[in-house]
Amino acid sequence: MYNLQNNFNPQETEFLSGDEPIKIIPNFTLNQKLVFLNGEYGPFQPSIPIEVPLWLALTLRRQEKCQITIPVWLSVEFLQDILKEEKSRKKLSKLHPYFSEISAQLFEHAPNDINDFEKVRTLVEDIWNVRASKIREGIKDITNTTYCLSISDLTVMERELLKPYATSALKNIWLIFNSGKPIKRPNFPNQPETTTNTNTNTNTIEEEPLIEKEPETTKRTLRKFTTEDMETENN
Amino acid sequence: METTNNITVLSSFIQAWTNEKNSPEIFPYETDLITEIRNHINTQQQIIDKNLEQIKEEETNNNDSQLMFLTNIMLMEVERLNYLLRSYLRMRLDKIEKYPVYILKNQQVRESLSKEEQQFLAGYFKLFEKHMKNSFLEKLPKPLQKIDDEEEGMVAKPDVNNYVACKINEDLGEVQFLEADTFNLTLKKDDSYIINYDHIKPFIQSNKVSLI
Repeated sequence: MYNLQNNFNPQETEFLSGDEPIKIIPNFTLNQKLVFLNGEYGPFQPSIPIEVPLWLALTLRRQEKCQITIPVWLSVEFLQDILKEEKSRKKLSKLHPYFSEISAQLFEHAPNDINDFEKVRTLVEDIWNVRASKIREGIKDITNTTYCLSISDLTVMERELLKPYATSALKNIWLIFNSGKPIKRPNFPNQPETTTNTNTNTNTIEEEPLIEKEPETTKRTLRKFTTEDMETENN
Repeated sequence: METTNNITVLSSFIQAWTNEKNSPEIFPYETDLITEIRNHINTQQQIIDKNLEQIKEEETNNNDSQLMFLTNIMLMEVERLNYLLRSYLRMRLDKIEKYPVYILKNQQVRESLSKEEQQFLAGYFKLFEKHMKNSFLEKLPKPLQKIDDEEEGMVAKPDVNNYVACKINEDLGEVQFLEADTFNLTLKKDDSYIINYDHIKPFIQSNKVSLI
């Protein structure tokens, strides 16, 4: 039944992140081209930077055949800016979708290529913690009338960790919400026709605020993860 | 150029794999993508085998280390592709095993399966039926002996009301979803939502929305 789970576990997201391109500086020569399914790489000359998939970069680094050029978004300055941004507002900042996976793999296999390794690691951890607490806050907004969740700014790892909880919670809400209504059944003989649901709230749909303070039981609202409205209210 | 073509092969296959993983239903079998991937794997595997032969034959170790190094890299790439293929096929087989009667009854869903999968389904269903009959169905009164009775709820169907995470690929504007009460959603490019699968199902086939 492992194959029927609906989300990727961290090993699988790490596998997926392996296809991301990254720049390396090889210290060996290979005059042939490497022919992969998604492109040709090479030839490799020492000290000439070249872009390869991440899994190849890590393999070469493990064998000490190259030096990895750390991407811009893993530098101390960039991470400090992101951390400041994350702490100052409720909305999640834009990160590389494979932020956690790539940083974890680079920490494990190429710590010497990272400037200020310890600082970078603490910054990454801090950013993760701030975002995690924001996500937990956002989850609290799910009520008994939520019908969908906006997850635009989550990284892959955060999304996959959230999915089991969010999908089953929303499904249960949907089931409860629809439980009082007649369900379509195939027509058995001698039974009356089922009627469609008659809900009287057709005119309240128009000007729904994005976030509701006191949800009514029959009105359904869109829940966004980050409460921008609360921010504008405070300004 | 060949490379641009092949970039889309891998990313489309990964998208098909992700769709399959997230949805309760079975999607059409990606024959073209899979044939291309298997062709690539076969050509690479031939080169790998040839290299390994060569390494075994040669006595000296000078060029071998480079050849071995190259062969190892090719092996790794082939392993990655094999993992994707195996995972994709296993997911589909699990779904087939879960809903055999439903698939047999629906011509449309049956067409989503490859020929080999249809054979698997036929064999699996035969075993399943035989097992059920021998275990207890024969001993039940005649009207209760059917295992494909839709009205009595004997057929397990994929639950289309599961919630899935999806990404919008195109600007779709304001879309109205019919449910207990209708609700509108402005679907913009690159937004992601966790939403009822039934609502976005029509968009997945045209690739306007993809599951993530």
